Amino acid sequence: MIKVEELLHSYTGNGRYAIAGVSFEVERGEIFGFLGPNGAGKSTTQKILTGLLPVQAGRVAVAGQDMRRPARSLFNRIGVSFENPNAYRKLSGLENLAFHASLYDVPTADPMALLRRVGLAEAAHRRVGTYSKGMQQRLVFARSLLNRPDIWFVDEPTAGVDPTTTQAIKEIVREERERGVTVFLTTNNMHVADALCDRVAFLNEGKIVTVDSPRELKLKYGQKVILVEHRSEGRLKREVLSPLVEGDRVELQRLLAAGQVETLHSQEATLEEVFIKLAGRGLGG
Amino acid sequence: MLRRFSALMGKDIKLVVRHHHLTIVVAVAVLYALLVRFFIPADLAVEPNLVIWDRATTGAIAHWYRETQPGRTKVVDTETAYGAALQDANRVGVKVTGNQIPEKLELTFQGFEGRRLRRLLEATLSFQVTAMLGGAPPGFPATILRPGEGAEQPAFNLSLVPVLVLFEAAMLGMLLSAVLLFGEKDEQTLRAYRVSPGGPAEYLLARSLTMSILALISAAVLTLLTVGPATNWPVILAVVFLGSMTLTLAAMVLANLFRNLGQFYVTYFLTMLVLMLPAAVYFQPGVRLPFIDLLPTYPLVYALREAYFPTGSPGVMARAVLQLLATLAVVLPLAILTFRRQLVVKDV
Repeated sequence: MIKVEELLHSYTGNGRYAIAGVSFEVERGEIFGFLGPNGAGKSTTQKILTGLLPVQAGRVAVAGQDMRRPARSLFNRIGVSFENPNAYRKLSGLENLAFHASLYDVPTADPMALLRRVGLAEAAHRRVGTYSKGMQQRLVFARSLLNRPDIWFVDEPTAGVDPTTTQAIKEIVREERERGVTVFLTTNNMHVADALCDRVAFLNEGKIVTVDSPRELKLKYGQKVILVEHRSEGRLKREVLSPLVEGDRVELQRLLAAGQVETLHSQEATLEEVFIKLAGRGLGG
Repeated sequence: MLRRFSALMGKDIKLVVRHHHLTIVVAVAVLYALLVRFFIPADLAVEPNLVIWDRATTGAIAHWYRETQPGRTKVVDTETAYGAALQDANRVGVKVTGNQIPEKLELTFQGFEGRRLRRLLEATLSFQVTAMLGGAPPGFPATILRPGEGAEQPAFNLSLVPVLVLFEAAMLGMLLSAVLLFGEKDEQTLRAYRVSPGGPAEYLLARSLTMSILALISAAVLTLLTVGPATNWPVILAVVFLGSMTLTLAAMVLANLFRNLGQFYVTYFLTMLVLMLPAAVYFQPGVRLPFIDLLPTYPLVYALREAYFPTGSPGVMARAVLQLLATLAVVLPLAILTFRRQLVVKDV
């Protein structure tokens, strides 16, 4: 659904590239995470993919359309949830959605149903200027689903929202994937990416470091050991056991049989640890 | 397309109302009307008042001025009264001496009267005295090239109406449309629009149509409260509508080059200065500036004048409509082009 080849983009035009030769593909029905620290080039890439910035060099195709000259009809098929809440503050939440629904040439979702889905039904008739940032974020998130998109670009959907809403947003993303929607998720939140994405691309300083599934990355760059906490002789003890070592396997079975095990943790790496290992820096900075 | 366009217009009308733009426009129109009706004089004559001390036995000069210009003539019969009357700084003295006929006329000026005024007063008196002496005043055969423009002039306060309509309907519309655009840039709502199937043409047309409705409301309020309901409404509404459409689009082209209102102000005021030049020419018809008739405000102000105060030159109105349509045909594609280019390349 999305194909990017050797994409370059410079804001300054002096040879310094915000995007420096990025290539990747996103399959239909996949949740593809674009992971990287602030300034890595995630938002620039998304802007190019959604036609907000021109393609300067390289090739970009979205739903088979060359993004150098996308037809306006393409925008009936894509939805974009922006990182910064960008709704009309003088209009109510419902008026914002109703207005945007009228812009599409395809059947659209019921604005009120969408507001209900993101927990804004009670604030539907209030002006957006009175909404909290989290509420505005949810409104923009709901707006991106109005045209029931085939390709859904979601930029930092959980930034500034509470844990309950984060959970609800994750659930909606999963539901959309079940519907067959291709999701391009831009985030620097590894937990969101880990929980949702089929594959992630790590972006650092305008270049893709790696592309793989979160599971494979964690296994590849983590340790195949288990951290066991058990109580013996009245004291809490910690042991690191490898399932690949015969003696460790026997010891683990013994502890389990004796009922002494209190906690058991596999020690694969987190996505953030993988990123640090590959990019030499964390996702936060 | 039509659904999208009406949605854009509906949104713009709500924004105009909720940003209090409609209130501002109507309030300014009412304020202008009050100024025209109650504060600006109907006659802005700059001629001074006269004090006449006619010592000729017939008193013919004093009699003539009292009869023809009673409002501005004071007749005295003593030197003391003449001197006292000249204490009024807006008064010119005419002292007439002679027996049966005025033999000598002495004029006393305050000192700040212009040369033209002095010559005019001298010529009037000379003309009058010649007639009284039984001589034939010189005749001046005249040919009028534009007979319509010599028709009865409207009262000064009402003659301001076309300029005020132009100012409010067009110029205020330019500013308010720019304010809306900068509001959208600030809220980043244009980005959301750009990832929809809507294009710049629908957006610009909806915005300029909304502003034109504001302009029509403003022109209607101002006209009703000043000139009254009996006027040439079709022409007034047509030229205000077309003028507002054109100027709103021009404002959008210019405003789109800037990020916020602060950056735009200087350009706006310079543009306004140029666009208001026809108003200056309107009050000083003798002044002709090169290319001024190419400005969209030029046909607008003259068509409005013809609609409000007909002089028998309907061609002015037809020409104005055609010129505004031609300007619109140039400005609209230009606006679409710059809008598309500026937004996509600069991502604003």
